[in-house]
Amino acid sequence: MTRGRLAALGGALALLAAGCGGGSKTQTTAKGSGLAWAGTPRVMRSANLPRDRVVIARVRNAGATTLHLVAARLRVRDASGRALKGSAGFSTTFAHGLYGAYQQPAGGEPVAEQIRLGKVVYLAPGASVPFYAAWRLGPGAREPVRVDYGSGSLAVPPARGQTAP
Amino acid sequence: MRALRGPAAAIVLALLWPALASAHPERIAAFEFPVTGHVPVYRTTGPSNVVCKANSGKLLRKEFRGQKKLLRQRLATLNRCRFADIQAAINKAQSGYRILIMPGTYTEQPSRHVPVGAPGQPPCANDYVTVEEGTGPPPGGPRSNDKPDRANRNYVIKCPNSKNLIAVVGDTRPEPTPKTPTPPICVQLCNLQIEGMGKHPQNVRIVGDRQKLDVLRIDRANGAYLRNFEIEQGAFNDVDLIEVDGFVVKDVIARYAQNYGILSFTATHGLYDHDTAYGNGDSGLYPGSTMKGCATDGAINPNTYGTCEKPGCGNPSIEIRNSNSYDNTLGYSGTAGNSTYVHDNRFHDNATGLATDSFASGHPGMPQECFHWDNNQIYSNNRNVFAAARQTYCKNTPFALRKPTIVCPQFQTAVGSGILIGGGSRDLLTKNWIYDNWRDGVFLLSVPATLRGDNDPTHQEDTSDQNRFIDNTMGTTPAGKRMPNGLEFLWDSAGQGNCFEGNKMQSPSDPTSLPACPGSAVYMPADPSVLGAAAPCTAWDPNNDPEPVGCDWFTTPAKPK
Repeated sequence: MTRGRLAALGGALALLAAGCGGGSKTQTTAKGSGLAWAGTPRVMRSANLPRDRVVIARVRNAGATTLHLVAARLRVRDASGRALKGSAGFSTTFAHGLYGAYQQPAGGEPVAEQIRLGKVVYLAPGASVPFYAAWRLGPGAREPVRVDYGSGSLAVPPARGQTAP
Repeated sequence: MRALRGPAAAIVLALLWPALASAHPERIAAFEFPVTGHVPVYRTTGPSNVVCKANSGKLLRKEFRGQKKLLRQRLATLNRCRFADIQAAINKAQSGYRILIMPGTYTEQPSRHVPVGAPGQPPCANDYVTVEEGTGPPPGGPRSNDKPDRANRNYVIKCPNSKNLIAVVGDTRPEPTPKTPTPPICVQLCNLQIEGMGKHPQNVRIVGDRQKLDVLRIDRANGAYLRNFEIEQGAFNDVDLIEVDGFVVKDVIARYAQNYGILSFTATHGLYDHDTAYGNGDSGLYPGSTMKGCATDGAINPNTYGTCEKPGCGNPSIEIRNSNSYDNTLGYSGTAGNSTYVHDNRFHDNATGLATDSFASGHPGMPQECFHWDNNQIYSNNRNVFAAARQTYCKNTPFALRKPTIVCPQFQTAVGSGILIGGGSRDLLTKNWIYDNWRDGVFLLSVPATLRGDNDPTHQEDTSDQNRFIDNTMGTTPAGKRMPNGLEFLWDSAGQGNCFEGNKMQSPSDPTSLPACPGSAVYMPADPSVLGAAAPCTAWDPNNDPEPVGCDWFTTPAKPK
């Protein structure tokens, strides 16, 4: 069951069927277009942050054109379509930047650095990359959630299973 | 061959470009190879230039009251004083000289009058090199409109005091191709000894202006011996040793730098001895991009990809001993900090005690391997520099205007951790006292090569192998008092040949069962739940996301019972 600071809550579900997560203003990705899970996403919750969830997985470009995705523009939305506080990135582990927090280049990080840190990705058709999203279930938030990447969304399995001690 | 030269060198260096790409953000640097240096020996004789202040005599009489012989010797030396600034004394020195600094406070006013400069602005307006600009493949993606221009090696030759309060430049040969610099050699100011002549390090204060990046920069000046002074308030580093083969930093107090107290980078044959570091925004001591021990004897070329797996770790390339690092974000850090021998030190009351890693891009010597950390005390690293009020202050107050004593964290780290090994192999942690770190004593994490910008498919699983954790005392002080860590060991279970043996433990570990030596014979995958707990911490940004959802690193853990 639990490992580290996280406990697996679920993880068996891949894409939900189109139309799930009623109320979302985004479209669920259909097979053969846009972004899809590659393998089984794992949804976990922090032992010390009981309202926070993290999903890690690989995501695959199931479409026919290169996807350019910017992590900061991704949104996790609850079942009502409301954006939840959180973050996302194209990595499944910790990484840190080259520039100190108070020494960032004024115009932003170089693109190579953004790619290295999983802040942006250019995903060729059929290619996959590691991915995480984290979100906080605030008061009134309803599961299941989905990751909205602009031109579509990925449904995330609802939290289930054992929580961390 | 001492070093590659001419067109051949240019071609080789061009091919090596990714490995030599600039680091944290330092100018493009590489190891001297083959290395010929050694740790220098302290000298009490030989030519010297003496530096003093108007009150040095008065201070000497106060410090050495009751020590007549020593006082007489110091006053005789003071009589030879011809310089009021350290840089002036260095400028008049030659290789093998000693710079004797009499008690006093040194602000180096002539250096302060030299503008810090910027690309396109004087001084040395054009001596920058653009690195890591990067462009995304089509369709065109985000592009920084602020090129990461860094002062190149010609800059430090022509304008040494623009970005450095005090500069010792050992290689004055002009750099014809700054993006592929010539391999380092020392042609002047080699074997320089810079020594405070006070009774204690605090008696000679070298004070940065909080704008110049380095307070004291030793640049390709092999054989530098720095001793017995206090140095502070660098806008990046207090002491910066870059591309140096052979150095000692002894009895130096380094404090209140925006980033690093004492930093060595692409340096080897080094010794940090009886140093103290506190109040620094990144780490107190930073032996980063340290030469691999198996490179010092020529088994591998440190400027190309390679590990010490087959030849063995070899000799340590930098030793750190009897030092005390506290009240920093990290007591010690070292990206690509290879083959460090760290023993008999104290790392305490930082957010994290020690970290060594293969996380960041462009650090020569990747991946990290072969440290030997022995008989250190690593304790009470629970200092929270990420509290909301602190982050707000740091965000709103430029370094130049901050109170020197307030530590503003430059990078994220887990509050309450004794040691983080983020992508290390063949590291040996033995006979240390690791206690009262409320999150975990040791966190061992694998790091795929792509996170350091190395996308070679054969390198992706080249970290977290053959690390050994032997005979450490966890959760108990040397006096026998129980002071538990949160977890003793937290490990993502990845790698091959990692093992834990003979450790005395008070608290559980995760996983609960740790393999004895020799560990797994095959490479094991990482546990995603451990990786997933750390992944959201990447999002930390004091300006936009000071407390990332899903990351608990910035909350002080409860004191374990």
